[in-house]
Amino acid sequence: MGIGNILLADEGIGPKAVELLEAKGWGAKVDLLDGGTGGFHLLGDLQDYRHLVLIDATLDQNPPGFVRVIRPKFAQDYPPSLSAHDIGLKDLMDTAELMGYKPDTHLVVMSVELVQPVGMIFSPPVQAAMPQLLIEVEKILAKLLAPATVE
Amino acid sequence: MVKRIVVDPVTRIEGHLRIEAEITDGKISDAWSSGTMVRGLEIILKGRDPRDAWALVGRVCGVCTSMHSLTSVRAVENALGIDIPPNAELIRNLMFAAIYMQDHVVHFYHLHALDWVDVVSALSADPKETSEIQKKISNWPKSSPRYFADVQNRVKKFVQSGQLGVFANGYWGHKAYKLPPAVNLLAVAHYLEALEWQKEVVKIQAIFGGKHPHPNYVVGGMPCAINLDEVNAINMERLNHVHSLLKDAKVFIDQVYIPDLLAVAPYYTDWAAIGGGLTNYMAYGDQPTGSYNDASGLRLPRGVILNRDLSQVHPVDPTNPQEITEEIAHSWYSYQGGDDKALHPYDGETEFNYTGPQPPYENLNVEGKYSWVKTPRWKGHAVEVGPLSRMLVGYASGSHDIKEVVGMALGKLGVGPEALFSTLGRTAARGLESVLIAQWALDDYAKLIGNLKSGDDRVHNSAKFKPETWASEAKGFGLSEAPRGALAHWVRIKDHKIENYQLVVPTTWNASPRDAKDQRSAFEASLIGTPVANADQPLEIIRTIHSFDPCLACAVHLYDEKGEHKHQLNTF
Repeated sequence: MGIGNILLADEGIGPKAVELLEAKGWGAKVDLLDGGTGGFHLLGDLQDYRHLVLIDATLDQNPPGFVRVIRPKFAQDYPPSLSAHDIGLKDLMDTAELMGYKPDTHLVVMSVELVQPVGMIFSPPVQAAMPQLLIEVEKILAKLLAPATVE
Repeated sequence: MVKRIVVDPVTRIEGHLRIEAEITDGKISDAWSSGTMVRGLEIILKGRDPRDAWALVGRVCGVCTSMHSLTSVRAVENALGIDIPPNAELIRNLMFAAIYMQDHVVHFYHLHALDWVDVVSALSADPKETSEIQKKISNWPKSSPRYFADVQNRVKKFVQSGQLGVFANGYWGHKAYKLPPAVNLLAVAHYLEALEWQKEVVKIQAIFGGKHPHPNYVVGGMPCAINLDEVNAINMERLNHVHSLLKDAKVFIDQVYIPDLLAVAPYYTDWAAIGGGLTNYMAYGDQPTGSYNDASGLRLPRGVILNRDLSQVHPVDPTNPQEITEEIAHSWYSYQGGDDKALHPYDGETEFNYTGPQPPYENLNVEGKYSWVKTPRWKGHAVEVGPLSRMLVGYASGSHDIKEVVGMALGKLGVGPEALFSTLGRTAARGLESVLIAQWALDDYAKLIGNLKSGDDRVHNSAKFKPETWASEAKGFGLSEAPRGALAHWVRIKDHKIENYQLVVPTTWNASPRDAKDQRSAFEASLIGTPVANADQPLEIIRTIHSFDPCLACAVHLYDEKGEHKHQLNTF
């Protein structure tokens, strides 16, 4: 599931990554979801799956384009999201926690810069890091799909 | 003694809102509302194909995504003179109903309830007592002492784990909480049930919109193929699913939401005299029974009420340059013709001009510009929009359904219509229109099935879909009632491309700063006179602001890892 606002430039990397995974044929093997700015509407999706790979932009101290994988247990383990939506990802995760939905989650985040224009074009460091983001996601998907790891 | 307090950010809303208030002798004597919106959206739309606008505006936020898409296709259809088939109108109504019911229930239980319900107090409730209350107020089956004890244990465990999560921002123990523990437990139980329920009802959007959470629309109708017998279309099986979701929604609203509203309200009747604010109310109307272009067939009627005079409903003309205008006297924008101008949205401008203080700052300069929200006016009047406005305009227009449901609630609470002009009235109006929308959706579903069975499966009018059929210049407007209130898009099309696109959204009406004549908008006006018992825990401010269900999507404020206010962006 890729989340973020595609109207706010680099914040749209999540939906873009899902689009690229779709183009590479992953849709035949896993369920892909462009979560957009979905918020509460995504609660059902967290309930339905045992494994969740979440892709989002983050505003942390790392340079733009920096990709890392996090294994969050609680909502507070999520790094700061770029979108300041109060009813956003953290709230969604808080709520999922309250409801006892616990998909085993890999969060793949890419760091983005603070100041961004409204628009639909990625900044150069983020654009350049998209292939690496995809590699990280594909590695996780391949691992999850390998028979040995299926419980 | 005058004390200035700042609530920033207001939590449990969509987006970022800052309230500054002056408190004199325990009551608010003046207030300023400052907000941020992605007004830059209008810049993204310029030069694009008008048939694509719905997909972009639907991304502006995750709360009422499809409302912007609906309004956008209406605007483009209006510009190009496209009529849509009756089935498309019905499907749009059903998707509208789904988002409304979900949004209002989520607002009541998950964004607003914690202003009235003390979660910590619920932990000390006697589940037997809660069970008795539940059985008295409705036929809802989940009512045993055992059930409420289980809920209590579940929440206890959650709180003890230290992961307060969703309950982290409450002013628990504040003396303005008036519910007995047993009622608090009832509300907490339904907080959890509502979460389960809301994720089901939104599936209606995915069934008709083909996609979730941002469903598809199309200029000229709806992009879904319906055929009762076809496996790959929306067939009878999927329609039955829609029907069962609609029936469940009606039961949830009638047996949980409304009984809870009526059970909680008597403890807070003082709030029927607080938070009224403006005396003017506007609704664009929605839920067409025929074509959306026929305003006389709107179940939620269109009009303006001035000075709380329910004997007269003034008509609204969205094309008249003298009626709906936007001002920027106190907003961080500039107009080419001067910042004192009031522009109709067809000629609207979106030029940023941040003149506020460099963060971090103590207070905004409210004498000058102090918000990213523009200030819309109707014929120069500040008006409130939202559920209360819809119910008042409907009541004054003589709508039988609306008069009946409003009369029922006033009767049960033993209050007169004047109680509606308040914080409590606003919260009640949202519940009451949910009752109506739940029933109307079932009516529309029956109509859709009737049409399909009689052989009419048209959902799209493609006659003017191709740009070759368009005039070289066109302009149009789309109106709707988003859950939060009157929403409108205005579009100018030139040589098949968008030349100008302006959105005036509900929270812009309500949350805007003062206008050039220093008239307050709804939020600011509603806070005057509100008591504040403890300036460090301004629960009362939150109650009234939340009663509007603010949505300031895509705010430009950011937070550090601890969630503290960190930085304010001056540019987009």
